[in-house]
Amino acid sequence: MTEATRELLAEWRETFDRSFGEPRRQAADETALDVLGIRIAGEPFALNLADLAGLTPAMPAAPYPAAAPGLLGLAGHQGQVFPLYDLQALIGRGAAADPRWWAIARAAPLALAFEGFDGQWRLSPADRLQQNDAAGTGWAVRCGGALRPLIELDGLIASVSAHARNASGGNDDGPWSSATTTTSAGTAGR
Amino acid sequence: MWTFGRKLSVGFALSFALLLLIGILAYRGTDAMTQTSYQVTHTHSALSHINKVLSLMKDAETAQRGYLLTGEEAYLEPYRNAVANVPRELAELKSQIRDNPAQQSRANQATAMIDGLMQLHKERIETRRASGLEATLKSVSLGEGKRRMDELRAVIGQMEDEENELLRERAREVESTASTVRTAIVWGTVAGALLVLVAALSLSRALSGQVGTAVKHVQRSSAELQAAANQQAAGARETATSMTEISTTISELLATSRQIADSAQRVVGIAEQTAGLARGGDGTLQAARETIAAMRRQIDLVVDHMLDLGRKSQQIGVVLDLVGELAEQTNILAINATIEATVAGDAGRRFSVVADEIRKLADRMTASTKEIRLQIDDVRGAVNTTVMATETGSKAVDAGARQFDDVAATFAKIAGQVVTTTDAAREIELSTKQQATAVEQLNVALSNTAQASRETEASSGQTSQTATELAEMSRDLLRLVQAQPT
Repeated sequence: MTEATRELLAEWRETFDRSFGEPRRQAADETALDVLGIRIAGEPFALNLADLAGLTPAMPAAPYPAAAPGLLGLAGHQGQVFPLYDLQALIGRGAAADPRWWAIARAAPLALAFEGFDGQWRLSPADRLQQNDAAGTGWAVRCGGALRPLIELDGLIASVSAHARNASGGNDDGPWSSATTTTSAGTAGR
Repeated sequence: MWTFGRKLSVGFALSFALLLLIGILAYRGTDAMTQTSYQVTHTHSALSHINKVLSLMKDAETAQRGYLLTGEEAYLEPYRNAVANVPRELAELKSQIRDNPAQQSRANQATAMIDGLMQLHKERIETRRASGLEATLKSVSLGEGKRRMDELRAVIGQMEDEENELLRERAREVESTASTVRTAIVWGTVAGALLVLVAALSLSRALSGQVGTAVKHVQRSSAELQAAANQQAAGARETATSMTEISTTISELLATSRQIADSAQRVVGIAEQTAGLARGGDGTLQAARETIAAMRRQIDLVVDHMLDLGRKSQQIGVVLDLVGELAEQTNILAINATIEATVAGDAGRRFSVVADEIRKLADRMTASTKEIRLQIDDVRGAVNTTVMATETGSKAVDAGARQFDDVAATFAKIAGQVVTTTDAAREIELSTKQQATAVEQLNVALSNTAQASRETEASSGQTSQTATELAEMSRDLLRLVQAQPT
């Protein structure tokens, strides 16, 4: 074990111990923004952790006979069944080649598949920047020194819901019918 | 093309034939003229006999008349002469004209007349002697004698005319023959002169042409011969000089050969010393071979250790994969815990802090895992490089061992070759001595060759002089043939 490694280990231990010793920073925690760094078509993006209800490695999706844009099939998570959509297709970048992660949306009962997961960052408000030409919300976040466009899930979920309602013609036979119920519950819980 | 000799032969042959023809014609003409001359003489002889017979008959008549008139016996002498000679003359005349039948007939006719006349003369003489003058005159007055004499004169005149005609004919023959001979001589001479002129012109042209060309060729050949002789003389001089130089060089070579013999003796001594050293170096080579074998074993040991290290690094990598997987799952759990804490609102905020700390630990663990993986990869790369380098070193050691074996074998061969070298050096020494002897003999032979070259040079000088004389003779001959200087 080299000297540098010893020093790194000591720093980690001190930081770990200090986290127990420091007082709670209420204000800072309330204004903090948790983001999830992901990778779509090889490019970095970010999702607001507050918009998600879960993150899980991808598994084989159950096929579902519907022609909704970006619908990959049905996904199961913690005993629930969600319609699985291709996040890359939803943001207009075409179909994803090999999605390896699922993110469960909190606002609606649906799962989003994407290619790569880079990590999670807790950011201060100063790291949230307005960016007009970025995809999604028009916001970008600085994660680890690099800017990532922040994808705004509410808009995407709204468009998916509208399309599903148009496709089903008002009956509740589609996958969106249960999702609507779950969404109501989810919204109530929020 | 006609050669000069052929032209000469043909010219002489034609001249000879012409001369022979002229000679034959002249001989034949002369012979004919001689025959004609003989015949003319014969005719003249016949004419002489005719005239003689006529003269004797005139003498006999004149004598008979004188006796008849005088009665004296003295007048009868010519008569008696005629009686005695006329038959002989007639016989000779007949022999002369026996080739002419007409003359023969006339001669017989004249002989009969002469016999009659002679008989008449005899009868009158006997009448005069017996009866006297009167009876005789009476008989004479009858004119029988005159008539018979006139007839005889006529026959003899015919004979003379015949003979004269023969003479004229012979003269014409002579003239014809002489004319033929003259013609032959004149035309033969002209033809001979023309032939000689043509032959002279042809031979002159041949002399100035063919012979002149040949002489010029001889002249050129003489010049070339002279040049060749001069070149040969120069070559002989150079050869003699070179032989002298070679002789000097060979003397030096002789001295060098003796030095080589001495050097070969020294080489024999050094080779023997080298053989002893080679035998001593054999033990050192054996010790070095054992050292190389020990090195080879150590290298094999290092390779085994390195391969073991590589396997253990691989195992560490597997363990690291486990740790990385655990860190990733911990991270996902921490993220989901944060999400759950966020959903829990204020109640979950403290839990969110703990979850964030867990996530940080997981991040650090992932980062450390990646760093360790890099180091492990470095170690495995270094191990692979070391193994390959060691294997290369092992191969190099093997190659060195083989080369060392080769060196040892070469040393053994060198030891054997040193013995061979010693023998060869002894043979060189012996051969060099033999060579020195041969070089001395060669030196003598070269001296003889140099002498021969000098003699060749002298001979070439004589040849050159002869060629010069030959060229001079050719020029003289050409001058003689062409009558002008070249």
